[in-house]
Amino acid sequence: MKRIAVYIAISVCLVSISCNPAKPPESEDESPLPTKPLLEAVYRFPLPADPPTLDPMHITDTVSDTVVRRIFNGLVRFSPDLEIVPDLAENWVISKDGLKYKFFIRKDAKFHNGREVTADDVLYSFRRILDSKAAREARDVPSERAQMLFPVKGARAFFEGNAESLEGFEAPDENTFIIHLEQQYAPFLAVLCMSNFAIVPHEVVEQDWKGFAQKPVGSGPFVFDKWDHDNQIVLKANRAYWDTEVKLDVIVFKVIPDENTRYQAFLGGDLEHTDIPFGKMTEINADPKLDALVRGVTAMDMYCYGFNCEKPPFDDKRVRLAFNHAVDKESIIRNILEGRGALQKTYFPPGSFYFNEESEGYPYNPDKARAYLDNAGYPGGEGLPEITLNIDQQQLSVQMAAQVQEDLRQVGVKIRIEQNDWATFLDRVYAGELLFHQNTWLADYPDPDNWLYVLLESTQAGDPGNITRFSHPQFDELVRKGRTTVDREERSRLYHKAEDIALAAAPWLLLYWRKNLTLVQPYVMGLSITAMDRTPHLNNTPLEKVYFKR
Amino acid sequence: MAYYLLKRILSVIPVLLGITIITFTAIHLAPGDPIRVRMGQRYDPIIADQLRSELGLDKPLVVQYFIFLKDLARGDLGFSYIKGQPVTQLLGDKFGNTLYLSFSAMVIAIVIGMLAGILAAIRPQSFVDYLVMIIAVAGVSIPVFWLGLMLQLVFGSYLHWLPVSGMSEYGATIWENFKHLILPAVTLASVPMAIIARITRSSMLEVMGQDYIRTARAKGLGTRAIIFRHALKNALIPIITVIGNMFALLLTGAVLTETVFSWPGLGRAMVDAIGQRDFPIILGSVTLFAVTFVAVNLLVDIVYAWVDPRIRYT
Repeated sequence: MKRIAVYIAISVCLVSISCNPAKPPESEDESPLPTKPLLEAVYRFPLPADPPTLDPMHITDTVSDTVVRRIFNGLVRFSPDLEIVPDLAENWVISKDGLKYKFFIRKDAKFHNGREVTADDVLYSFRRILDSKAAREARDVPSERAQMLFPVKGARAFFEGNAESLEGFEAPDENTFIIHLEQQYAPFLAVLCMSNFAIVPHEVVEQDWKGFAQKPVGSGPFVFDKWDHDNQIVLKANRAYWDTEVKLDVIVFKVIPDENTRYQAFLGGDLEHTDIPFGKMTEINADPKLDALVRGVTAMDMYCYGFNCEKPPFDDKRVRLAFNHAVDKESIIRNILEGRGALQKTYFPPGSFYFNEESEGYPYNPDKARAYLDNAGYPGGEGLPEITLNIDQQQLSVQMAAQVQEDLRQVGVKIRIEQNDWATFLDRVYAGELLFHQNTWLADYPDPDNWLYVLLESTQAGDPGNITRFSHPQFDELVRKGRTTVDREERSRLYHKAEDIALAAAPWLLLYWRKNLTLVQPYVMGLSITAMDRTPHLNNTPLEKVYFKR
Repeated sequence: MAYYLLKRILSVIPVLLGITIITFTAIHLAPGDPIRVRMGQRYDPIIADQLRSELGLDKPLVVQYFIFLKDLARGDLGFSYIKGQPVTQLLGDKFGNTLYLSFSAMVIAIVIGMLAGILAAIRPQSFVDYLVMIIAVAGVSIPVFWLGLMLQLVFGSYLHWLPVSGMSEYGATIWENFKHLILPAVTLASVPMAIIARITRSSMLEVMGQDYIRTARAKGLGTRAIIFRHALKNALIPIITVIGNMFALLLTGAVLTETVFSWPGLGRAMVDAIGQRDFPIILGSVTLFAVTFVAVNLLVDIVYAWVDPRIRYT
């Protein structure tokens, strides 16, 4: 019997020996968290999911986007303050009529296989997105974002197989690439900053089209090394990067789906940054050392509710306005979000030239809400049926919906909350089945077109993006004109007018813009979180200039 | 025995057919469109139609099912709708990872569970017995995800002894990577360990009261010889039954542990696939689980015969 006890004791000792002793605490002024000494500068980057693909033309999600942006370059990209700056194109010229874009490709840019990037590669990369026939022959599927290039001359016909050639692209010499548009499209340059339009080396893709999604070769600051699915992706510094000297040695993208696990891993010194789990912000704020590590900005990342403007009672704007004034959004931001949101007063987010700073949105005013309901023929909510609010299954969404439900009850409106998984939610909301629902959007590009046209213009109703089915002829005219107006001041004026119409019509119940607050280890330098980032993805944050100061 | 084995192996075919029909029907009855999930919030009907056609989703359901069966017969589970990669390749790696985790958890559960059960049985109603049974009840009652989070908090965040996520580390040694296994394996082992401890205790208590144990004592045999050579071997049958069932359940039920510890296993892949309506992955993982379940049960039956020569199969 004693021996059995001895065996157990030995087992326990073995387990204890297997674990490293606790690291000595860092000095007070350096870091409150343990840092693990690594020979190389390895940035351990959390991902909430395994990327579906690393082939730029197939990217539809922020996780893949995060990884791909480190490996590839486009013709142009966004700077941290969201201006369009040169990438592989060292400069460009847009014709006076706005129909011809001429890009001059850098002569010193090279792919990771050592070959120079040429205009032929640019032509190949753009054509590949539209070449559904070639995709089929390679046993692949067409690009899910091909429609973004439909403003290019002949692009749609080529994609649909109705034209053999594609007249909209031209590569007259090794360093010049020309795009011809069907009609003026002001946000086109911003669209080209999307990672779908990254430049790929044609010979590598041709060798193994489908395999390219697993072993990508680009020209960016980091070189693909290894992908251990659902565990980690390893990228190594491109020491021959044409743009700047890359300071990190390695990025390890660690797939950690659970936000609490990411947080614990960060506290344990196993990650260089992480997002903040739901309900932890107060705890972090209470700890000065942790609080000092929080970085981030208000993102172009919306969380609001949408009304189905085609169906009663939301076909009446007075009901929509009543709902907007009945909800105490500041209380939601303060108590549920723990400050991780900025009050939404507009239909286009802050962080861009086009943001309307003067808008007051819909201030919390239950009396005004009651008056609107009264005018609409529902005094004290009488006559209104119980309304179902459809949301996703996130804990945050549930708590927020409960608060909205309570606020609306105060003005006499009965709300029933229904949770759907994401696939079901998408199916139902785009089919126009839902009356009152969660409405989220992260900017593809920081242009009002990506919000006001895509999400609210009447021809975009349903599948293309206008899930509220809002329709207003004057609004439509303004946002259509905004698409084809190049002058920024004039565009700004058009969009502000359109936004005033939207504010008066209230197709959304405005709630908040997410703040991408992120915990970053104190030794991480040069990390510029942008308004186009969701956390922990930080998809638009450049990493090539990041370094460690331990 | 050979005839019995052949019969058992052939019985897998109707089981598999039934399971695939039920799964195939259920996933197609559920709302949600894999193409819409794949395209995200920028859905273009023209592109969607092309995608649907390329993935064969425009064919009648019966045709889709028979294509799946035809491919299955060749060992091909098709391509993931979301990742575009062969399902066999995607699931193969993950199945290996789940097997590694479940097997490790099972070893911990068997070793500690049986030792604790034996300790409790040889000193019934003692402090050790009560302690073991309290821990066993706690092991069964504490939710796995909570235990996992607590272990992360203590061993990861506070003590910094063990990594809290993933299966391996960039540039780490084999030993350092092995440390990734400890917390998820202990978490996953908690329930079977508790059950094995309880079953071992009750089974051993029953055996220890038998005449032949008294005879062994009378012959002057040592305690260790009595326990391990005589008592334990005869107490093993119910324990093996539990171990067999538990192992199959561990393989298929590791999803919570895999999620909490970011372990790249099969359970997590299946749950992700359900959320994304990635039908080939769902069908592939359910098929794999079914085969595993049947195989483990078969193995248990064979071990019965080895442990107790009186058991014979025809």
